[in-house]
Amino acid sequence: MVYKPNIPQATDFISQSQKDMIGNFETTHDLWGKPPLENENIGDHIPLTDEKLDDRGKHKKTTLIEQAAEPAPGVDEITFFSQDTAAKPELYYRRDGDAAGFQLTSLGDPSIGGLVLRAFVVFDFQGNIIEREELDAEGKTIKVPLSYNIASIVANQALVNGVNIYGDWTITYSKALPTADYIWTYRAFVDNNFSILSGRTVQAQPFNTATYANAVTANTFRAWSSNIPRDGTTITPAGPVIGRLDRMVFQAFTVA
Amino acid sequence: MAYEPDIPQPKDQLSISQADLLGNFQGLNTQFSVNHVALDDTSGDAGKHKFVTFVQQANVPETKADEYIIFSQDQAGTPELYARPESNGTTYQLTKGGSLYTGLLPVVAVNFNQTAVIQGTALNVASVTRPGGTGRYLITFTNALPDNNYFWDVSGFDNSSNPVISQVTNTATYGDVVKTTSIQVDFKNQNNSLTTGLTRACVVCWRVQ
Repeated sequence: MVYKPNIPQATDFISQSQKDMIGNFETTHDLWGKPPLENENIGDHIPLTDEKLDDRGKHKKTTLIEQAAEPAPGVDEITFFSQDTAAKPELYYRRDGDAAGFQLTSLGDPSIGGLVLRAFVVFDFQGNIIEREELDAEGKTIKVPLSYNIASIVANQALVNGVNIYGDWTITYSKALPTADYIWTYRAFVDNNFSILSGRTVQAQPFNTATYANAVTANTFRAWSSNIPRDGTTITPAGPVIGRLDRMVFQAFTVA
Repeated sequence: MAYEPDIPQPKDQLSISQADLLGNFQGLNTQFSVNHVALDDTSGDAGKHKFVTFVQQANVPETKADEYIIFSQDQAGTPELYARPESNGTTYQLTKGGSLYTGLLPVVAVNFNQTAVIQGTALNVASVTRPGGTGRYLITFTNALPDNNYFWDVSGFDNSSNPVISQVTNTATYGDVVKTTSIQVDFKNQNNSLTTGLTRACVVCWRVQ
């Protein structure tokens, strides 16, 4: 039943007003928020009849209907809303005094200052993603992989004695990036104690024996490392580096 | 008309109660529709939010177990969004200066090719030029940065089987190449010469928020 804001009228019979009023109370109850188990998607708020008195009036969630025009905040206020951006609703916020809102999300990722970190990973010479140990809420030690949106890291060269010793990898994203023209950074650390080449520096970059489009795609990044001599000579072939690259750090960004 | 929570009273005349009830039903619909799709909306969206207006809070609201709150507080004269985890956990800032707050703010980002043509969309970049010919590029910012003590990262790609050494130009003082309005970068080959084979390059700069 649709809510009727203009009831009861002075000329209404009480029997009619009773129906209208109970209808409004029921509609308000339903639209305010139904119990999550009954229908999570109806209503954003804790039900008015929730058994936990302290929870009444609070939110279960916040569904933001895409706005055609930015809602302007009043004095000392912030508006938080969604707007269409490239045919997708994205979150924005606008503060008192702002001429326009600022975009906070982009295609499922947070936008920070207009730049979106789409993927990152820290991995070792075996292609293992480095994990950080921390305590969970129950005090148990859990391992947190230092990666985001990474499906796999695969060595592109044959193993030597069962070990990958070459700095040549394909990093595959779990979710394709929105463009192949993303901004990437890639760095490597070589452990001199395990390097068969001394007096040389490692340069980390995309695979450089192919076209850019072969090395950097929306789905993968082929990471490569080259030997840089320190004496002005040229090493042939420059790469891939043979040695123990203990840490590789990769990031991919797009502009929101 | 302000919402009257204590009506109707037993001794109220019917005409008084009718006006009170009408006022409350109208007021509920009007006030609910400030941030929500109105209760009498028939599109199927009734009850959802149009947007959320956060009125600046003088004190940090409390949280119980299994709750998380978002609220607004003054931050240097401007309201910003904050969050607080369950059980009165430590409050942290969500936004600052028109961006999500992570402590480090990207201020410049660009991917360009050998001829200094920007590939894809750049952040705060007015132009990329080659002031010294092949291998040297000047990235000019659209909006100047507050100072030149920002973080930078330069990366290059050469498809001619040569490694690319990427760095800020090192033939000048730091202040001459890392400016508030631009940054100049070089891409060199193994022989420490500016490369002629650069295919793509990426530059990213950050500032502490």
